[in-house]
Amino acid sequence: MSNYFFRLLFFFFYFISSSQTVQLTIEDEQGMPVLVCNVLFKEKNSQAIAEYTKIFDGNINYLLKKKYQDLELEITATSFYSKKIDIAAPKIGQEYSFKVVLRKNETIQLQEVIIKKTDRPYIVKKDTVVFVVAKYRDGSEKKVEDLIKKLPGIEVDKNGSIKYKGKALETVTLDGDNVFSSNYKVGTKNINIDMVEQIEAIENYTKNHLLKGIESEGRVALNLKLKKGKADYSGTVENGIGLKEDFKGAYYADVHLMQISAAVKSFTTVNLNNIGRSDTYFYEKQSSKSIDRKSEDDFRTKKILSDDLFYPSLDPIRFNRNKQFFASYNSLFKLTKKVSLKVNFNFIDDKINSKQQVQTTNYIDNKIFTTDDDYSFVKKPNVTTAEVELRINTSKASLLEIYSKQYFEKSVLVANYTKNKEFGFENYNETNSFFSVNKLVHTWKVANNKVLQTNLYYSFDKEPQIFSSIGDAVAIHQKSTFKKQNILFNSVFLGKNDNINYMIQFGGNLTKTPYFSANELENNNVEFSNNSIFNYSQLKYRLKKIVFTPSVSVIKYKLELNNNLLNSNKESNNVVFEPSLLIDYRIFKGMLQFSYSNKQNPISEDYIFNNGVFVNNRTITLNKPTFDFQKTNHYSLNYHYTDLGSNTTLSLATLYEKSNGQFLSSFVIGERFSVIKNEFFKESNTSKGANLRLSRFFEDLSSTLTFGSNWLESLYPNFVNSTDIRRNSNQNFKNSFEFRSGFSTKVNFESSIIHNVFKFKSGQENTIQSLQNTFKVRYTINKKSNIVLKSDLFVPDIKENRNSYNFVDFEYYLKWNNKTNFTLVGNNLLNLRNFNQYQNNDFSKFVSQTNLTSRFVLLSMEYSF
Amino acid sequence: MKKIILFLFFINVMHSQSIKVSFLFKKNDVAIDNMSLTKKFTLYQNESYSLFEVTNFKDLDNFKYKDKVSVMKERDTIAFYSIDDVALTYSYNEQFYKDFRSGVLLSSELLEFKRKVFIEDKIDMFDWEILNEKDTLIANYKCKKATTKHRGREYEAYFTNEIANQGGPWKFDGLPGFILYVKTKDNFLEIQATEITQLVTIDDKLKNPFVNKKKIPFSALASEIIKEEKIRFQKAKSSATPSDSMIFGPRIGTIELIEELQKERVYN
Repeated sequence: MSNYFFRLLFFFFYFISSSQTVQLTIEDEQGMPVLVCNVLFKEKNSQAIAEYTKIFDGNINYLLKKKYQDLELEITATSFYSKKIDIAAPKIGQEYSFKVVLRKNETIQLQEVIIKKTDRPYIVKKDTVVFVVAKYRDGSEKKVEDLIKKLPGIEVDKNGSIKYKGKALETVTLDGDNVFSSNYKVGTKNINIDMVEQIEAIENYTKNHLLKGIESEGRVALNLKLKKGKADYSGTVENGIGLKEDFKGAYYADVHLMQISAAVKSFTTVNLNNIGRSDTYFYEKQSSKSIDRKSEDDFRTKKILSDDLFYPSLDPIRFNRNKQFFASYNSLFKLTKKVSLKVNFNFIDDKINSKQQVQTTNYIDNKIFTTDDDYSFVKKPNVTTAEVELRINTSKASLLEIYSKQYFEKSVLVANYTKNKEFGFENYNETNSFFSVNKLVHTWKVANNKVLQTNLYYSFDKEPQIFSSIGDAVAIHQKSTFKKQNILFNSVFLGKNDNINYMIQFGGNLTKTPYFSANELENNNVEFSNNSIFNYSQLKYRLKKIVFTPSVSVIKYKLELNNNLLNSNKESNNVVFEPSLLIDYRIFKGMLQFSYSNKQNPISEDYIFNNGVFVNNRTITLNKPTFDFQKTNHYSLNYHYTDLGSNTTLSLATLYEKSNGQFLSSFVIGERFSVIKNEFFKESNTSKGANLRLSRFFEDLSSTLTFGSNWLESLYPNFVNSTDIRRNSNQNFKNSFEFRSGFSTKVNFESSIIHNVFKFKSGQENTIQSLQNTFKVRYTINKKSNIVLKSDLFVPDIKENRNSYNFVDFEYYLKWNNKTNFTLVGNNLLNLRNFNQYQNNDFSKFVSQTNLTSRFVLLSMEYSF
Repeated sequence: MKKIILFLFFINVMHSQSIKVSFLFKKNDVAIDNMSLTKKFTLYQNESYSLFEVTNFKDLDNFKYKDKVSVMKERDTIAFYSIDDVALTYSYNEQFYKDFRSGVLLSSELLEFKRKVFIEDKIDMFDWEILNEKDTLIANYKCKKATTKHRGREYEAYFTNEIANQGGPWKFDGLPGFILYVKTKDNFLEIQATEITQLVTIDDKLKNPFVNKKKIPFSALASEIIKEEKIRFQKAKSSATPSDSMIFGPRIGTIELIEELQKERVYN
């Protein structure tokens, strides 16, 4: 027992004599003890906290647990400035005693006031950023698209196409299900933001679960997380009626129906309007590529007729004088645990009338001559698309996808055309398109990190067009049909190791593209076939912050062109080798990306026919087909940075592209007709460009500022009324500045200024500068109502200081109750009737005029259920 | 005397760091994902005490897969749910009370769906390691990161001394500052602050809810659970459809893992 007591005593004395004690008295400036504080003990050099203790009532006698070379004490207390004490080389057995007075930190001393720190508006998960919709809303947003525009890192262009972190969006899913596929605009333009709780921005998205983690394309997508507690069915009905000029009626009817249940997700919308809203986005070019690098666009062929003389650079609602009926049905059925069926059906029927006028001044060979055409048309597009996708999980490791899309178009255009104010024509254009693409995809997860995918396609496209133009002295009757038939097979093997992703693809492609045309001048009857076998290999190697992605494509082409009129046949066999390299480097909290690619493209179907075809009343096009390849080297360097906290997005992009050898246009411009002959020359085309976009939310201003700058220069050759080659340059420099306030006051502003310069140079210089300023004021009357006033100012040619246009619109919104709201809209209140646009190219200047949607006032009621 | 009371009250107001903090409390059940849920808690704290209590324990929206959950029974302080008709769970008015000066932490635990026991822990029971990293900004507060192992799970926490000198959600404490965010490394648990309100006084909120309750140390919890399990087996044995044996699987769905209960328990 005594032995034990002595041992204890020894240890006690040893401990006391070999360690240091720190005695602290901590007071505030009034000499009162600080109720609670903490003392941190740090090794001075490393600043690492080795131990710490809490002190109640400002007094402690603390025995250090560790040994220090140079000790630093930091005394911290909330709402006081912290204090540091240094003890250089503390001695063993020494007792240190300090009295510390802590100074109040005035900036934090706000105890009398309630401070509410709002939680963050976003949550960052691994590959996903979750944006809480309520935190980004200011009350002016109605549809999903309106809110997405405000989210950091997301850009929405004027057509509604969305980019996230600089990449084009793959799709927008509904509660994780891909109901819309790449036609996501049906969702973003129509779904009410009230239905959505969160928007998730997803990086490394893949629609095929077997490819998750193995596919390395870095696709991006958005997911709309819908509000819970909604019934299986929800939707809105909106009906608006109003008045246009001359007491003509204006109408707008819109119905949305959403069904969300465990087995079915469905979104249906119907729109009927004559106020300029256009829903043609569902049949836009689809260039998003699937894992085998194919897009729908690869299977489409061409149309030859141009329906418009020009396309105004205004918001279509200002000039689209329409009577539209649009319906869209999108459903995903989970038939069993293993089988799902998706159906997308879209239909549009419209009647658009427009009056256009184009005055052209041509500067050719030191001669100036002008043309002046009037064009008044009624266009009736009628388009139906139907898509079906069946996905069968045949086992845990394999998925079979069967996809089929059918596209039908019947568009008719009836027009009066007056050439040079003198020769009148009655025009009739008709297009009867049918396009069908059918696809079978089998994905097999061979091993944990390896996938084999096999794709089989059959597609068919037929674009017959009739052009009839009957004048007093001349009549044109033309039939023209492009067809394209495609059979494609390919197999892709994808794999992944720790730092490496790889992909090997083999395949074969049989394409037949016949073209037929007949008019008063000449006929064409050709058949082009492009058969190829190809191999594509890609390696992605991650080395810390850098990712190298070299790839190479080897293609063996067999090209054949039969001219059935001349009974001639040309054939060519080529092997092309296309290397490319991508380097991604994570730097300055952003991503720097360098890319290089080499492409060799064979002749496209635009150039396969020899004899003249009318494109419109003035232009005839023909070619001299050859099998030369256009070789293009493309370099780009991009940097993208997003900081969600400060809502900052910075993107910088530069590009350089040089094509060697191409089909050059040789123009023969006359007062009554222009002939464009395309022929292959070993001449080069160069494009250079730079692009900057900076967007940031400034807390002090409570506003978001966005600055954008684009510069693009092309150097290109052509021939105009001569056999001498002309070397031209074209520069476009566009600067824009946007301001959007988020004040807590009742009034908020949005403004944007866009300045655009188009400069063509070919011997002499030819420049047009335009300016556009949009200014919007939103006045929140109370929680239930607000008013928006908008002014859109266009100066189409600053230098000439010619016409300027000021569109004035207003909107009054009233939330009647949780289910009903009213909107009163007034558009083009100053009733501008025509819009003139000034354009140029290397040998002409154009003054193009279009008539506008007249002033209208519309009152609509929306009911949500 | 009156003067003194007034003076003391004044001092109290001047120095008190009374705060109300809302937390999201997210539990990802690894074994049965359908049991995963996110609850809302509120923490009231001054220099001497804190109370952390659930604010919406009966809300069905708490569940990750709300569609798969149905309410079986609901009372004032407890609700029972059936999950996908295969599992049973409950939610009750959880409270955690800390007395900083005496270093005591009180909480309750519901055993076998019915009996509540009251647990006494030490506030200082966590052995934290503060990492020497750059500060992390959470809702504009400069936070330091610390890690610890506690009762079978590894945690990382972020704390700041800009809000309070001590305290944190659930049982978490013992760092030189206020804990704003905690998660387990295995993703089982994630607690994050969503709203911080500084108040003049909240003393009325900080009464000890466990007064006059019999408390047991955490170390005695295992034997209490085994006792309840045995009672349940006895009942089952003497029921109309008696069972010969009963197996209780490893107790892995709780935040704190008890070593003795990590293996199967068979009662014959």
